[in-house]
Parts: sequence; C-alpha cells; structure tokens
Amino acid sequence: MASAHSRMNCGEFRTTYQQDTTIFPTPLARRTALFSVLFLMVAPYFLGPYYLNLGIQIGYYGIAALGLNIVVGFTGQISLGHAAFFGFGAFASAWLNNTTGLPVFFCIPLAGAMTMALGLIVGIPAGRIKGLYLAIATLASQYILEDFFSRAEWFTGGSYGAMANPFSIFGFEFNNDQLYFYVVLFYVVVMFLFGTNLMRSRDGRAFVAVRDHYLSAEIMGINLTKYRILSFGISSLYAGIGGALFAHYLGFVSAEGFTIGLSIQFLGMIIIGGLGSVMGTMFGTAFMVLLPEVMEAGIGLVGGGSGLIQALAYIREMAIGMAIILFLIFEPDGLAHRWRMIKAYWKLYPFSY
Amino acid sequence: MAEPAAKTTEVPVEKEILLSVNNIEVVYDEVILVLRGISLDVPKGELITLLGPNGAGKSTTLKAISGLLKTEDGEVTRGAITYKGESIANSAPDEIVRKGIFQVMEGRRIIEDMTVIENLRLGAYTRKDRGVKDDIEKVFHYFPRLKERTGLSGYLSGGEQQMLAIGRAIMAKPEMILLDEPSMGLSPLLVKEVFEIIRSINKEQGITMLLVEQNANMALHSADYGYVMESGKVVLDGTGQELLDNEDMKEFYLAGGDKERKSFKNLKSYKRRKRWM
Amino acid sequence: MRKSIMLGSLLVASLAFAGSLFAADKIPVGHLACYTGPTSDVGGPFGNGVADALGYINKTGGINGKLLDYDTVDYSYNAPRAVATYKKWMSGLKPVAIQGWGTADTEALVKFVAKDKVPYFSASYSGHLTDPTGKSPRTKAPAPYNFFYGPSYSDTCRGLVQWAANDWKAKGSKGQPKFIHMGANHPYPNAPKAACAAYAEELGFKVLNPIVYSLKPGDAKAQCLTLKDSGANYAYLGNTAGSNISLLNSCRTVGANPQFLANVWGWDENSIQAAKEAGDGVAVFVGAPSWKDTEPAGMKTVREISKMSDSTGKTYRNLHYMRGVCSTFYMKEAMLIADKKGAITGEAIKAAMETMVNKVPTGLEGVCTPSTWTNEDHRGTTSVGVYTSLYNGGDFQLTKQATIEVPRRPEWLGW
Repeated sequence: MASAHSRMNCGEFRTTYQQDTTIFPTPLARRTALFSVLFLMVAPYFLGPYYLNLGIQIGYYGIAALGLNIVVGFTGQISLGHAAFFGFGAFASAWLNNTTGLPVFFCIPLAGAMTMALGLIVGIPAGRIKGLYLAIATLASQYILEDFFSRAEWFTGGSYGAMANPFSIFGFEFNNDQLYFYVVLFYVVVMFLFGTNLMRSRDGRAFVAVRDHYLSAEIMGINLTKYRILSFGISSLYAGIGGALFAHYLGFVSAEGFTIGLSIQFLGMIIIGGLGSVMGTMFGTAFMVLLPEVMEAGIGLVGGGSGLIQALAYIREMAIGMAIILFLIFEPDGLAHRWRMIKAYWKLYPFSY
Repeated sequence: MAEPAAKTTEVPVEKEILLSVNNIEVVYDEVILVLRGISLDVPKGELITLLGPNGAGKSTTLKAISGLLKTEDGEVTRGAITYKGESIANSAPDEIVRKGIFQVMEGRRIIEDMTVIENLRLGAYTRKDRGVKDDIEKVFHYFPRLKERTGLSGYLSGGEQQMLAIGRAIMAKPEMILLDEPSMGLSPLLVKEVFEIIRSINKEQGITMLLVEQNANMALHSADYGYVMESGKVVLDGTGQELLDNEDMKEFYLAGGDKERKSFKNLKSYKRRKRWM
Repeated sequence: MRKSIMLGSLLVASLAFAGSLFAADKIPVGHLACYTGPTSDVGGPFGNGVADALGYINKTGGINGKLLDYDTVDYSYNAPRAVATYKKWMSGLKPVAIQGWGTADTEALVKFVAKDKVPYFSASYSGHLTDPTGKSPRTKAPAPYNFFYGPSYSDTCRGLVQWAANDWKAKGSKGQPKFIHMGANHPYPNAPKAACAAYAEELGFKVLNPIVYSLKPGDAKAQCLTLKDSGANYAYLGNTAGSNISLLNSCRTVGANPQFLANVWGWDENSIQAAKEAGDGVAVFVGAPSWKDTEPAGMKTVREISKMSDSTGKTYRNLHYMRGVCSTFYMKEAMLIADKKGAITGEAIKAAMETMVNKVPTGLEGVCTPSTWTNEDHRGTTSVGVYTSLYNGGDFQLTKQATIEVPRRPEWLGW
C-alpha cells in the first residue's frame, strides 16, 4: 500500500484565480447550497401547510429584502420607500392578469419589469443626492405611491383593493401551497443566484466601489449617477417580483399593506441579516418572519387566558424592535457575520488560529 | 548666487505632447481661487513630475486633469486642458478615464472589502477586451508580493495597498497615469522600490506618467522632466537632472541650505519663461 | 455525517409532530383578534367580547356537552400574518369556524375560507360580503362563507339617511336638505359612499361633493370650513372614532354644525367622553344596548360573560364588546343546529346559519338584533337603531331616536 492514510486538507486554500471569483467559494458551500435546494424541493411533501406558509413568506419577503440590500448594502444608499415598490409589483401583477388575462406565470416577471422602470424614474433624484436628503426623497416616494395606490382605481382598484388570481399557466392552476412553494422557491433560487452573480460581476464591483470610495470609483471610469440610479432599478425589480409573488399568494392586494412600517421592516431584515450580504439577507428575513411566530408559540406553551395573550402580544411587537437594537449594538454586521465566523472556524479546523 | 538655469526654457520640438495644460485657473465653490495660471506639458511616454510644498495646488492640478474637480465642487474657470489635441477641461471623470487618463489618488483608496483580484478587476472596469487575465499576471510581475495575498485588501500593508493602487491603474490600460504622492506614508526602502517599479512601468509599458510628489529627490531621479509649484503657480521647471543641479532647488527641497529664505519669491535669481496664451 | 442526518430527521419529526396535536372530541374554533395594531382601540373590546363568549360557552357546557377548542391569535391588523395564522390552523387545529375581525383579515381570507369551507364571522361589514352566490353585478367575487352580525356599512348609512329625511320633515324645515359624505380615501369610509349617496338622492337630498379628512386624528379646521361653506344639513362621518373626535372638535371651533351621522365604528362611549360637548347630538347607529342598560333580559347573560375575564364584574364594557358576544353566539346557535342534524362541520354550520329567520341567540334577548340569513342573502339584519349622544358632564347619555328598517331590496344585495 502506497499510502495508508488519505491526505487531509488542513484548511481551504485557493490555487487559481477562478476559484476566487466563483459563486460558491468552497466545495462545501457548493454542496451546502445544492443540498439546501434539494431539501427544499422535497420539503412540501413532509412540511405541514403552516411551515410551508412560513417558507413562502420568507421567500417573497427575502427576494424584496435582497433588492433593498443591493441599494443599501451594496451601493451604500438608503431607501425608506421599499414597501411601496413591493406594493407596486403586487398591484402591477394583479392588474396585468386581471386586465389582459395573461397567465400569472408571465405577469410576475412583467410586474418586476414595470416596477424596475418605476424604480429607475424614482432613482433619478437618488443619483444626485445622498444621505439624509436621499432618505427624505425616498420617504416622499413612499407616500406618493401609497396615495397613488388608494386613488388609481383603474390600476389598483382604488381604496377597495384588487383581487389577484392564483398562479396559473395556460389553464393549469397552482392552487395549493405545495405547488406555490415551488414557484417561490424557483424565484428565490433565480433571484439569489442573480444577486450573488451580480456581486462578482463588473457592475457588482462598481456598486461596491461607489459605496466604499465614490471618488475612487469615479476615477476608475465609473459613472456614479448611472450606478446609483441602476441600483434603484435593480432593487425595484426585486421588490416588484417579491410583491407579485405576495399578491398571487394572498389573493388580495390592498393599499393598506404597503406602509412605511413595512419599509422599516425590510430595513430591519437586512440590518439583522447583514448589510451587503446575499446570504445574510435570507437569514435576516427568516429571523424577522419567524420571530413573531416563535414568540406566539412561546405564548402558547406558557398558556393562560386572554389577559396574558394580550400582554404578551405587546412584548412580541416590541421584540422585533428590540432585536434590531440588539443587533445594531452587538452584531452590527448581522447574522451573515456570525455565519462567516462559524465557517471560518470549520474551514481551518482543527487549527483555528 | 547661483545662475538661473537658462536651458530650462527650451522644450524639444520633436516630442509629441500628449497632455497640455495651458494657463488654467481653478475655483472651488465658486469663490476660492486655488490655481492661478498653471501651464505644463506632458510628452508622450515620459515621466513628468510635479513638485511643491503642501497646498501648492499639485493635487488640484491632477484633479483638474482627471475631472474629479467636479465632484468636489471645483471648476476650471480659465485656460485649457488639451489631451491628444482635444479639450478635456471640465469633462466628467468617467469620460476622461475612457479617453485614457487614469488617476491614482493620494491615500491609496483601494476598496478594502474586495480581494486583490477584485480590486484589479475593478481597475479594468472600462475595458471590454479579453486580456484582463493576462494583465493581472502583468501586475503580479511588477508586484510579486500581491500575488500571495488572497484575503481582503483591507488587510494589506500600506506599501502593498499603494502597489495595488498602481496595479489597478495598469489594469485600465491607460495611455497616461496621474500619480498622486505614491511615497506618502511609506518607509524609505519601500519608497525606493515603488519608484523603481513606477519607472520600469513607464519605460516597459510605455505609459506616460504625471507624478505629484513631495519627495523631490526621489521623484527627480526617476523623472524625465519636472515642474515646481508654489501657491497655485509654476515657479520653476527643467529636466530631472537640471532641477537636481539647481541651486535653489537644492536649498529648498533637496539639501536644506540657507534657512532664511523660505520661498522662491524671495529669490532674485528666479526666472521663468512666461507662457501666456 | 450520520449524526447530522439523525439530528436533521429528529428536527423534521418534531416539526411534524408539533402540527398534529389536537383533541378529536372538541370543536376547534379559531379566533383572530386585533389587540395591537392600528384598529386595536375598537378591536380590543370586540376581541374581548369574542374571547369571553367562547370561554362562557365552554363554562356552560359547550355545544351539547362538546367543548370548544379555541385558539386566540392577535394578528395586529396585518393581512399576511392573518393568512399565516389561518394556514397554521388549517394544518393543526383545523377549525370548523373562525371568529375574525376587520377588513384586513376578512378580505384576505375570503377565498381561502370559501375553498376550505370554514364559516368566517367577522366585524367587517362591507356590503360585498353579503352576497354568497355572487349574483349581484356589483360584487367582484362571491363570499359564501362570510357572515357578520349587524347591518352592512351601506345599510347603516341608508338607515341614517332615512332617519335624516324623517328628521328634516319632523322639524318642519323647508327647502331641499343637503347631504354630504366625509371620510378618508380608504376602503372602510368609502364602502358605503356610492350606495348611501344614491339612496339620499332618492329620498330627495341634494348630495354634495364628499369631503376627505384623514383617518389619523389631527387638526381638521380646513375641512370643517369647507363643510360650513357647503351648507350641508346632514354630514355622514365615515372614519373611525379617534379621527371623528378631532374633526368634531375642529368643527365646533369654526362653527360648522350640521347634524352629524356616524356609523358603528365611528362613535362610542369612549368618543363621547373624549369629545365632550363637541360630540353632543351626533346621531349614531348602535348595534346593541349599552352597559348601563339593565332592561333587556339578555344583559344578565352579558354580565355573566364579562366575568370570564373580570371576576369583579365592575369593568365597563362598551358597545363593541356586546357585538363580539353576539357574533360568537350566532356561531354557537348554528353549531347547536348542526349538531342536532349530524356532525359539526364548516358546511353544516353554514347551512345552519342560512336557516335562521329573525333569530336571537338564546340568553341574549334584547341584546342582539333579530337576524335572518338565507343561502342567497347574507344581510343578517337591515334594522338600524339610531341614537343621539349627550356628554352631560361625564354622565353621558345615549338616547334612542328611532329604529329604521332599511328595505331589503334585491338590487342592494352585495352593495
């Protein structure tokens, strides 16, 4: 026997440049991603409808949150109007389907494109202003769109809201959660791969350069205005697709659902998950969606009458705010950072230093 | 008293002038006059250095050329900047990069959240050709130590960051690089190494360079020609060797000398060809 | 690796187990409440009424001995959370009926409850929910499993307008009376707008251009000046109580004083106390007797129900609480009928609801208005009790003016 023991790699090292720029930096990451997707593929068969519902929620919110992370985390801008774009996508898809009869299958990407177009228009001032001024400008777009939703009857059904049909393609309806879970899963995979890929592309590097050193970015030939507007456009595309998935899942779209509160919640998701991290966005969204549910379950376990339920209901509301504050203080880089630390530990295992 | 160097006034006619700055004035925020009539010529393929004390307007001159002035609320209000016969004054920075002028800013300004390779790829942002990979190799040829660094570039040492910043400029395949104080914050040994590499990039790649420096000795030893600025004006110019030999230069920048005289203004021997339009 | 597989399967198993716990001999009921969130001021008392009533039903022997297995969830007026809760219930609790709350959850769940055949009792009184078959040209989608106790927003407004027309004549005023709709541009104030205006015109009113004022309480003097200039005699307030209080205060300041009309969520005991004299004379639809009203026989039961969460019996319960109790007791009556006929399923509860004619739940006589449901018409009642309020230095009074029976016209179904 030539070698009795197989060689064990101590740590994970890169030997070619390609390895540095692949989507999945380690074979483990690739396997994990593949395994996760396969796991989710079979998940509907043994997960109850409740867990499927949570999975679907995490899916459509996660897509929208990733869009916000592209603006905030990758390009270093701020948006307080993300919920309005999410809502626009929801209304756009329902409207397309209701007025043209086009199958929902096609309406979702089209709604994404329409929202992107809107985002590019709204992004024009964003290309020229920064910081607090931009925050206020996006806040204004939130309110303008909210008002538009309750007035544009031809588009949104006005203050009454619009009905959204179930996901369908050429007469075949995805009318249960199992099937819809696959639709959302498909979009999550596509949108997250696109997001990860974007970050290692020429445009992705330009976004990060604009964020970190806008002067350096400029002298490298990057047009600041163009990229600032583009990031709003891409972010709106994500918001629009997330919103469209939301609409056809709930079956009913109402202007009430897309308030500034939801915009703040999206910000919470990416802060908790980690600004500028694609995977972190998923973690953060899952955290925000699951936190109230876990609290709810906790309340259930504790038991008690309606008095306790009422008291704890407030605690649950506060818990989200509390979580954001705690993350800002103790883990400002979000869950993604914690995850990286765990990965780093295993990568160099057994020699952690 | 030293005799003025009369030869400095002659610009060789046979040289092709790549960039010409003609009597420009720069105003910040519409009120603060920073440059008051700067003129200089950068012949193709040469390494030209721009010297002077702090606040003389060296960096502003570079920013006027690269277009960054606009981002900082400055403006070229008079004079002309001509690159390959085309006026580029007050153009947007990204247009100027596309025309072939690339600035390496003072203080390095690499993107710390990216790896070395990603930073280099970012340098090639304006390029559409397929030679990027080969050029990364080329950068590693000049800066072998960068090749070993696989982590985020925020963890690089100061010298390595400067090297990366220069390497990033090579990636853009520019015809001309504007270098702003590459020696800043580096140890003397590293300064020497960096300057040697800059010189060899200039010679081997044929990239024209305009180098702003406070380290006059080092810069003049590498440069083909030098300009000395003070208070927004060019006060002296000459070939690298001429300036090294110049008595006033020696006094002010190179070897200390008489401590009483603080400025070229006080020098009776100071003479310079005026180049009005 | 083996360890992680084991861990994984353990996790999956425990997740699956968590969802499958429920007792077979009980009647599962869901209760979506709004204790927190934008409508909690009225959602709180209503939810308490429902929760106490559910507890009281169990305390008094359940449905022929079968206890209710109910789960109260506060969804904070957040539609996605309502849907999430619904799905959670459908995987575990599998409720045969749900007590819901407002527009957000009701509208979001219309299709789901229709598909899963779960009767949904809520306090969202939109006209379109009264059309179970979708035969009215005005309804966009049928709502076969939706029920609510009380007249729809449109019928309430019609009733108030009818009362206004009578009032105009009774006072012997001359000329054509002017009617105006006021409210935010929001589904809830808008719901009765067109229907009410049409009926007002029919009754001989001149209908003026509506005035928009915010659902959020704030200064509304500008709107009040517009109201004053319009010369309206009767103004319908479409918003909720908080916003109406600030509007009435503003209008008192600028001297705009038409006869105000308010619907069921627009005025209550708390508003009377908060608005003080500014609220005097507001005509309001009251769906139940007030806590002070000891006459109706059913109030005894209500006081017992109240003790479920307040053993002292001293807590004042407002009108919304009574309506929560009524909504729950109609469900109880339907379950009793269903149980007599066979199994208590969602379908059986719906069928039982649709057999009720002028029904008052046993024990709540004088509290709940007699209601009728058929398989084509879910307008439980169209009877509108109109009261006027008086602050009276804190010892407020609600004085009954009239009970208006709004005609049950077929063309008004779903509108």
